[in-house]
Amino acid sequence: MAINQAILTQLVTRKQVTAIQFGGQIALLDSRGILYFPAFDSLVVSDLHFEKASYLAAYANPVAQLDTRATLKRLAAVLGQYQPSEVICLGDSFHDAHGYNRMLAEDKANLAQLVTGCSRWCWVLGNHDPAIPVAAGGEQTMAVHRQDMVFQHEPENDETSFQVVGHFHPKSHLTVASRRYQGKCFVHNGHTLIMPAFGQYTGGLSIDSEVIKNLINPVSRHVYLIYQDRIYQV
Amino acid sequence: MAKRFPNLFYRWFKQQGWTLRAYQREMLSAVSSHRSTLLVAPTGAGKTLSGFLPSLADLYKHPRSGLHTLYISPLKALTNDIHRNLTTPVAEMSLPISIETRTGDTSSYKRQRQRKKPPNILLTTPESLMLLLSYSDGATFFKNLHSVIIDEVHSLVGNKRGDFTALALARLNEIAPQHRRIGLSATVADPKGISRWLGVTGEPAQVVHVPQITQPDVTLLAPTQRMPFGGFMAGYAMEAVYQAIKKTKTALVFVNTRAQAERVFQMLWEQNRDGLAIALYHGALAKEQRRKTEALMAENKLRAIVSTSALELGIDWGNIDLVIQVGAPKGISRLLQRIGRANHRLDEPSQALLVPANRFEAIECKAAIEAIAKGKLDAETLTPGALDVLPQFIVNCVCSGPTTRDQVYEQVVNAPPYQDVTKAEFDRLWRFAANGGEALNGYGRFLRMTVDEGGFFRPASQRVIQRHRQNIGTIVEAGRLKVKRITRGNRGTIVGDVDEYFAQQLVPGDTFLFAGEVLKFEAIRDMQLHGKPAKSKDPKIPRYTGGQLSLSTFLADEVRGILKNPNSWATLPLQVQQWLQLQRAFSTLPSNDNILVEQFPYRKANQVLFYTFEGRKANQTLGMLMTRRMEKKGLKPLSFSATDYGLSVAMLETLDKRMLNTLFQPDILGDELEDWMLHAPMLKRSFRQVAVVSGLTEQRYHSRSKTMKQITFSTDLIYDTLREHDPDHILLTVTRMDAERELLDLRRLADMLIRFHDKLVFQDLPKVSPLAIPMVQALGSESITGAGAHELIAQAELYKEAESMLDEVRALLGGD
Repeated sequence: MAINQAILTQLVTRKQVTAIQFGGQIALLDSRGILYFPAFDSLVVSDLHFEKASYLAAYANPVAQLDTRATLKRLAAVLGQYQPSEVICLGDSFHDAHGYNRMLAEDKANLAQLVTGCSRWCWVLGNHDPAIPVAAGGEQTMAVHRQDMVFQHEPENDETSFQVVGHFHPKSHLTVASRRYQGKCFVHNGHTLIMPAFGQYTGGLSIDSEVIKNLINPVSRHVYLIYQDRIYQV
Repeated sequence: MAKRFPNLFYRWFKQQGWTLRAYQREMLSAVSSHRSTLLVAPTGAGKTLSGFLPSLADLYKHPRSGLHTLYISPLKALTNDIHRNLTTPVAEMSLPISIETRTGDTSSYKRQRQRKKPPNILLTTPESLMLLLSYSDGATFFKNLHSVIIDEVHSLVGNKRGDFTALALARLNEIAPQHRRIGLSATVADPKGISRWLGVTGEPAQVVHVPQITQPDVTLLAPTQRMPFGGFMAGYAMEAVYQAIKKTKTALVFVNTRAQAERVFQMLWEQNRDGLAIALYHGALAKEQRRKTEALMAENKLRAIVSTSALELGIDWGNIDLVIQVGAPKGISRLLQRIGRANHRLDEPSQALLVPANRFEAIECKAAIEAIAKGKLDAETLTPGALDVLPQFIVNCVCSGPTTRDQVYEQVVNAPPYQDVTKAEFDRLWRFAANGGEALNGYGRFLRMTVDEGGFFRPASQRVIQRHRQNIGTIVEAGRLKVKRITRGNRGTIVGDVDEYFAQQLVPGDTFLFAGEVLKFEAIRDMQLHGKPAKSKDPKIPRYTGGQLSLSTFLADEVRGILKNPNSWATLPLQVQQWLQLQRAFSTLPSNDNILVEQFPYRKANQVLFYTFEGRKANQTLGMLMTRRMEKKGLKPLSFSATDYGLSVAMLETLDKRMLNTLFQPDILGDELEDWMLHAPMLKRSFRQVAVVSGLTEQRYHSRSKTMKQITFSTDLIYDTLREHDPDHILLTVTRMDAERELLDLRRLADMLIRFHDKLVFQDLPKVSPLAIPMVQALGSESITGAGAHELIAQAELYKEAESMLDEVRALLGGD
């Protein structure tokens, strides 16, 4: 844990971080798209989609590798500030089964540095990355459990526990004085919390789309909108 | 010289009741003695036939096989029309001449045959020409070319498609140096400029000028109903437009956008108690439907066509007796071109009716009428060629056969728009064409050209050639979906296409206006948008990207002149006069000696309006730059919107008069421009075009099963990536130039700032002024991301428990 009161106060004042109560725990929502549980010293990040660009290179995308580098750079910055003892990657960390193998050597080295830089690195498996090469380091699992809380890629219909999931890439918008502001967001209803996608080349799904509405009813939802580099509850 | 004109032709002319006009005689002699000739003539002068006469005469005297004359038209439809018009004299005089068209619509069988056995006269478009030039037998095909005729040249000068055409012409010049160029142009302010474009570099074309003998008869609609302040649909005037149609045999109703075309067409049919044959025509309608309308028009079966600029050029209907322009004309030359569609006889005036959609447009219409009466025209601006076209041209040359850098460079500088391209610039573009250039170099799939020891470049693979050919051209379209009009089950007919973006906004059950009827959206299946005919009071209107015209500088000045001078208002509709009088009483009037700036509270913010009249593009740019400075000065700007007439900025703080002079300054073109260029979302729009035209990304991809949006990233992301990892990449340089040229109107903005920066008239008002009403109603405002936005969002933010929780967090962190 490298984050301290001074840094936190600064982040909160700049509106880069806000705190919520979820599953009996206090969690910090960071506008850079990560979630941090001080009690567990765990940092959660979702949908990194490494090597999405090189996957799509097969479909005539011309900039094939730079997305991974950009994602790593942002991840390194945020890990450097929080220095958590545990990192949970909430699935779809690699865009496809061959993603890791396509990574450039330099990117692999940078990733390894991040993975070994904390005491525990969990790759939660997602639909895009049902298996990750051992060479990537870290542990692989379908879900991480912490007290009443489950961290998994896709949600399960289990009312009894609290779940933190990824997969949906939620985004939201806010209309103020007939102007529309939109961005990625965190959304939860007290039981399920959906993480925004962290990857450089990831799009978004509106929280008003049927898929997300079925999971998190608009009536009981809490939305934290990331706009520029700040976070707002809307 | 007329001696060269065969007797057979004289007799045929006589049979038609025609005589050979003096300028046609002049053309014959000019063409035989100059390498390139430009004919500038008003519509109705028989321009196209004059262009072909030298070729017809030559082919009559020296019959031969193979390609003799190449005709290039900017419009596909025009090639069909010319084909019809040429076939008649050729058949009636029994000339041994074969004539064929070749466009994107030509069947592949016919194209194959044409390459083996070319017709004497080939009618084509710039894109199809470039494609022909990419084949390895292109040189053989064009080797004995006698003439190239370029129709509607004025529409090709100063834009990307024209640059592309100029390069194709330079290539032809290399293959067949003996051929002559003939350009046909509508009346323009600066024929010299066009003649420079038409010739090879340093050798302008000989100009043959046919003066306009009659002035068109243009009237401004006298409204009987309340004319709106804003809006573009002119609903108030439809009754009057309908009556005007009823009184004439055939009317052509021009509008400025496809959305307007759909809406105006619908409104006219609501008026159409007599069941007049009124048709709709625009570029998004299915080909079959357009053909059908063209045929009906040719057979005189229509009373009116509502059309966009798609019918503006060339097509000669002969019997239109009234042109109705709905919406502002935006420029004199364009208006004249449209008016020229009526009455194709030189010696009778064309009739036209102008129907402004709102009060500002009424002033603009009046300005246009006065300018036409004075015989004034907009000046075209000649711009250097767009650089993103060059990589495409380079690959095109390499596809046709092994070639060296120097060979291609020589051709490029022979095209007048590219005469100033330096070797160094060219080499960078070449490297990009070869392997993607700096950042992209090393990605295997971006290798397009390989080089041998002799310096000859070849395509890297067959795939490169295939992909290049699929993507030739400079017209970048947003993703499009075909619209299927469902009759039963899944069955129905394709009626046209809409923007992918629009389609994605529809939910099943939504109704929208398309091809003149209301369709109810069912689903998107197999890349088609399925819609059933339905009834609805308030259908959506498809939005189309592009097509926005900017008010010309010249017309802007005329508009300011009218506003300044109340004595000239008498011919304006009474409502407009009253509106202006009210403005004069409440605030003050804009003039051409100063710029009026108004401030008033509006919708929870302060609105500041600059009445510049410099056109939408320049105002848009001014908005982007000035709001940056406002941000720096702590004014907290929220959004701005630009119209042709001015710029309107909403901000949270109040603008102090003394601060005004620090905002409206030429120096915003320095710091703010640089700053903005680095972060501008608008540059990404340019980048999208540049990326496609230069071959970085592809519009058409062999796999049709997915939309482009699904398989490529938005070019925005590529742009960000390139900017971060290779800020000097040639495509970023090109993008910047492209933005300056296509989007920003920087020169016009600079001129205005210099002229007016110390001549501002500031009005601090308690509420919105009469003149401001249409401007604050204007849609499409751009939000600004800055302190103002964050303040607004923060105001709207929900009650936060965060504060109390943070103490708990601090306790948890307390250990450190």
